[in-house]
Amino acid sequence: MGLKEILSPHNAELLAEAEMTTVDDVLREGKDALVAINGIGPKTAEDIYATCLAAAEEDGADPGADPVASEPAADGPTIEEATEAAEADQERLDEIVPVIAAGMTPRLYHPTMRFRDEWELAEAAVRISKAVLTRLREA
Amino acid sequence: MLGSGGGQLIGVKVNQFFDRPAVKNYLDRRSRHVLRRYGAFVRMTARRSMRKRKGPSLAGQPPHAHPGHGGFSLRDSRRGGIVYGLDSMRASTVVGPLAVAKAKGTTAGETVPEVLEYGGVVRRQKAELAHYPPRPFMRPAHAKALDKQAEWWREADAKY
Repeated sequence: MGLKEILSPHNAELLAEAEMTTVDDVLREGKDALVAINGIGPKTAEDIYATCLAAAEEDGADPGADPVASEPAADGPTIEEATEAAEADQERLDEIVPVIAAGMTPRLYHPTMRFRDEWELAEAAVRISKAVLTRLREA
Repeated sequence: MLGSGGGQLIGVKVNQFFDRPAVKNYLDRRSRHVLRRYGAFVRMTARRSMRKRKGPSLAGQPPHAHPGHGGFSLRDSRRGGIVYGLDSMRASTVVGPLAVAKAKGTTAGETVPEVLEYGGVVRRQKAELAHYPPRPFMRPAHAKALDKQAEWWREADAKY
């Protein structure tokens, strides 16, 4: 189901710019991904997510399913794996603290990181400049 | 080649917000629109290229996402992931995984995402060397985005 049918034109447009055009896109990406979009705050993200959940429910989808983990259950973690992951998470957190740039904190793991102004990116990052985009347009 | 991360991005601080006055002052609205679309597209494409599967992916293919492993996930925005933002120093959009963890045992201290993207040699237990082939997930997304830029310019022209 398309977002234009259930959201305000403004919100639907903001989400479309972030490559989310369907209810499935929103449920798959989750609330945090909504908050990461410029112009959408936590409250609006909650409202949009709830609207999409309701729409999916009306549409016959399983509203209780975790959208992020909605792929085949065989790929999901077992309880043992989840416990192990939680412990590894803490260990990794301890490892990370020394290598985080000055001014950054372990809160990087927390969803509130979406509100941070600055992040340090890995070297796998890619970039494009306004100048290059302009040249491509003119080519 | 555009988009190769190179050695210059580590430590680059990226201001994510496209609506700050400083950004608005030197970027016209159409350019902002296209830069923002690029960031969102590359982020989404890279994330979706990482399928949730057991075991490693084939060399040359995007890495598999393993739910629950290690607490950090390139695919899951709740546990790290890929972000995009404006590099205000260079009037450009930067998209990439957070540099939150360095791979243990790499000679140059590469981060996990970097080893995945470009491959690398990691010293494991008992001095055993593990060779990781490249499993690119950012560069293919960047290449796909270049094909879309004309469409984004048309959108921007129609909108502003």
